[in-house]
Amino acid sequence: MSGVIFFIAIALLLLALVLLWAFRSAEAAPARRDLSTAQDALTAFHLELPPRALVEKIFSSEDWDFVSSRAPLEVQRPFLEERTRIARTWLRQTRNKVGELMRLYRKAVRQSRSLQLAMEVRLAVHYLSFLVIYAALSGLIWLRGPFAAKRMVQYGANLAEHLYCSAAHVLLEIDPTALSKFKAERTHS
Amino acid sequence: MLTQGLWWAGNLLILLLFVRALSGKFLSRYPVFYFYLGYVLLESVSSFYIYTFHPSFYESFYWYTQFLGVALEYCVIWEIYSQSLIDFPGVTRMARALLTVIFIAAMLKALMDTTTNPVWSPAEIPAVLERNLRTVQALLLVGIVGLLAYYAIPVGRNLKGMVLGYGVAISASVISLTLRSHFGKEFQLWWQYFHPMAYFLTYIVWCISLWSYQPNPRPRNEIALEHDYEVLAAGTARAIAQARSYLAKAFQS
Repeated sequence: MSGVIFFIAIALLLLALVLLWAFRSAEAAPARRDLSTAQDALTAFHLELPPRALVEKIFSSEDWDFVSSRAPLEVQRPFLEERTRIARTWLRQTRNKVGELMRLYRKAVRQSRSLQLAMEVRLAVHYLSFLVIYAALSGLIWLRGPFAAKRMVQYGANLAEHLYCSAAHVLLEIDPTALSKFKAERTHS
Repeated sequence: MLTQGLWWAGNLLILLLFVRALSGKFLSRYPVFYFYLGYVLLESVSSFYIYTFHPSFYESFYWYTQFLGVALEYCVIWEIYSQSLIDFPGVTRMARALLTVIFIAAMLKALMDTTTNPVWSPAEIPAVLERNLRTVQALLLVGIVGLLAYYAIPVGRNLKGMVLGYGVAISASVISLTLRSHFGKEFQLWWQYFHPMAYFLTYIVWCISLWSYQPNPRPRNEIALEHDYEVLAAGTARAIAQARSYLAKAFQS
């Protein structure tokens, strides 16, 4: 019976993938961003992150300790709801930005001759784990609130760092001329 | 009655595909695909003749022609792969490595399963072997479509329709052959309808997508100039650096 399920699962996977690919790309085609020049691409991918001071506060338990010890329940509940909403918005925004970066990266490298299978697989795995962690984090925030999710958020941040290293490494390997400029920029920053 | 209707309609649709390709002068653009379609039409008509006038030979004729058809379908998958990735040398190289690994692993497993499983009777082996070979095709197509989707590679309507039609046909074949080898003769009744209906649907998809010649959009030279690419690479790396430090500092506080 497991053999039957295995073969039918492969068939359904193929069917779903082909249908998704055919109809999704047909819809997305007119809205495709013009990546004809690097300048356009950089404009299209402009990271506009919320103020850092605000984000630092979102997962900090200090405010919650204060509110839970001093304020009545009628105040605690809306506070927690509001903080949860902000945390989820921030998470979504971060995921979208990293996703946009990966899309840009894939479009940038797809015509390159120097693509390496191992490196591409590693980057894809990092990106997938990043998405999984952020999905889990989103669920955790929804279930237990933003203050309970702090440890997992740090794990997610580490993954984002890993993703950064891999993507930057690949981009630089594809075009070694960018290496010196990039190194100089990193030293200054 | 229904199966006969589907059989005739399917053959007419294949003829229509040839008429459109000849009048639009794009038959030579997809030579392997149209060769395969010609084979399907010939095989279909021959099957009808054998079934009517030499029914005792029909079963062996059916399986031999099916295997030849499967072999030709591998060639069509190769055509899809080579035509869709023609302007993307790096992705082509990656796809070649990935598909070779999938092909060798899946083919070895399929052949081992077919020859070593003592449960199957000799009469069942062709169906099981065909199912396994088509599963390998399904995995190869998953690999190709996965790469096309991952790198957002632009594909024209002709090739997209070919892949979609093939996806439907291969999925239906794997499902029906799996159920047939599992349930045996009980599934024969469903098989008679399921199989021709799936292929009829495939021919309709092919007719719509191959009505006229619509090649793959040529990719613009997104990173044609070294300077453009340098700016793009450095800018992307800078943006990721910004995101990384933003995340790290936010939660280390």
